[in-house]
Amino acid sequence: MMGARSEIQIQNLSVRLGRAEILRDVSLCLRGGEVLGLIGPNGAGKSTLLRALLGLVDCEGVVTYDGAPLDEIPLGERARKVAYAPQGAPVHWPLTVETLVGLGRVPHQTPHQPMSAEDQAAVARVLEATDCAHLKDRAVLSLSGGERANVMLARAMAVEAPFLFADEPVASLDPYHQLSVMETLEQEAARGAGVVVVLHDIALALRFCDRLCVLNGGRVAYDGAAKDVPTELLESVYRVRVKPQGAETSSFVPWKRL
Amino acid sequence: MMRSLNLDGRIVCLALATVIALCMFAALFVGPTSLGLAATFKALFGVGDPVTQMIVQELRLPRLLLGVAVGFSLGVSGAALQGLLRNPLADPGVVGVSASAGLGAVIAIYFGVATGFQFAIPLMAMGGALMATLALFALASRDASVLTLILAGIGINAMAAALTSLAFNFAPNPFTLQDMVMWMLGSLQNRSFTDIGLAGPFMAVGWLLMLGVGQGLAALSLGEDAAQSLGIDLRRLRLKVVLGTALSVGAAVSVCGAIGFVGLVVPHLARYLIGFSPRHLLLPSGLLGGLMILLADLLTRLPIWHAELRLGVVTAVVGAPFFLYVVVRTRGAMR
Repeated sequence: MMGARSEIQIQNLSVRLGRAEILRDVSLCLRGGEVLGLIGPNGAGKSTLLRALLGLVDCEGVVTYDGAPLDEIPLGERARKVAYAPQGAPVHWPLTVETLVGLGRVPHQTPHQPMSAEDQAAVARVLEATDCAHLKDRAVLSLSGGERANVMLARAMAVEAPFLFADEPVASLDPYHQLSVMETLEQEAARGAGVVVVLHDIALALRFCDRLCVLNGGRVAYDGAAKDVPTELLESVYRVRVKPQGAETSSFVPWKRL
Repeated sequence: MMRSLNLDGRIVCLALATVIALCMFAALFVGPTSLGLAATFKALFGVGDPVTQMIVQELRLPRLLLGVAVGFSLGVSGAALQGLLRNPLADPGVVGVSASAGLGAVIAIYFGVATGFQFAIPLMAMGGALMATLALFALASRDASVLTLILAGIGINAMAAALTSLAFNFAPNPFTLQDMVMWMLGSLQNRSFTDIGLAGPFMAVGWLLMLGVGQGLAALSLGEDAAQSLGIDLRRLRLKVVLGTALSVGAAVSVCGAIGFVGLVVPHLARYLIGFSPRHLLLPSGLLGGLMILLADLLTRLPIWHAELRLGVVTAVVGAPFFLYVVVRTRGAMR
């Protein structure tokens, strides 16, 4: 459904919050059709990178969307290019699932325009794709954590943007729902979208991401194919030792949903 | 979990407008002087006894129109502020606009300018509202998080309350004190088309600013980051709501004193009727506010009270328990 695949080029992106330097000289390319896993320890600048790309924090450096500087693209147009599912995903009113997911259509509407048939169809489509169609009349605040994560993802997908940023979408989910969210993201990439997902679960990142970007202390420590990321690098970045493969004690690595 | 009837917003607005029109028409016949059905009707269209015409056209009609306009201002501002602050307890009173407008009026009465210049109270009240808005911007526009805005509102309210108390404390004489206290209680008595002419345009500009923000407020129910990522310009949204509130509430307070809790109560009624999305709550909240003031004012004019019942007292007596009810109902349901 998408024509030529879009590309976001990031060159020498730096972000300062007060005195602290959160990101330093980050250069990265985001492409349509792939799942990019953004990983790294707490405070590495993963969320800040996404927020900077969305124009939510001031930054230095050059970010271009298909060649055009991102900060010159009007707010409304940018909203149709990049969808964002923020960390924690607050909901402030007891909206129904359908109303909430419908908010993803805001970038396609004028202030007083009601939901068009096209908007309704998009909402129905993403509810179907995330297995949430049966929840559409429920109040969001009454959902379980897993259901809610899927609904919040559906809300971002309803924008139907060429890029989808998801900040820790699987945090505090059980293995079943982790896989369900990751599979949905994988399908979005297969559809042509450029998916950027912040993850803390390395096993999930290695399994589902085409490419990994490892951030450490605001700098890019690794950018390349997920399968090639050196274990030693992850060990040093995360300051942990990885259990050698084939050890006697069994390790629980979620692999497939039942 | 709170419930909602999920009615169609357009039908609710149409029904409310009809009820308001009927109530206004009925209220024309209520007053200390019994005028009779036919005479009142004729007087409305400028026919018949000149005294009756005067009572209907210059006393009763402006009072009704002003009541609906004031209620509409308070209702729309309440819905807009609750949406902006994402707080079911927000009210024009919360950001300190009402109290500051009240302070402006009290200063006018204190220095006696009100006796020589009849527009002193309205102008000073709108000045107070504007000062409150500017202070709010100075304090809360930089990072402009919800918490900062609420804290700034608390501070501005406290300042206004302190200075108002100071004026009461040093009141030059008991009559001035009584004037100030009675004005603070809020009333629609003896309001004319002159008052409507002075306050009306400001209220109307405020409404226009606020009635267009429904979509932005709906997006904001996902939080500030998500709303911005959906293309909502948060600075403009805040500016529209705060400026709209200052204009419409400042103007409303200036002509009829402090009338509290309308802006708190009506958005909840609107949610019960229509649903929780802030998108379609603004217009129905305004209409419900107009209806609420209309009915409350009618109540004050019933010939059953041995002293004059002030409008602000009626809305507070209804509104304050409702405030507590909302606190109890929302505790836990919303973070």
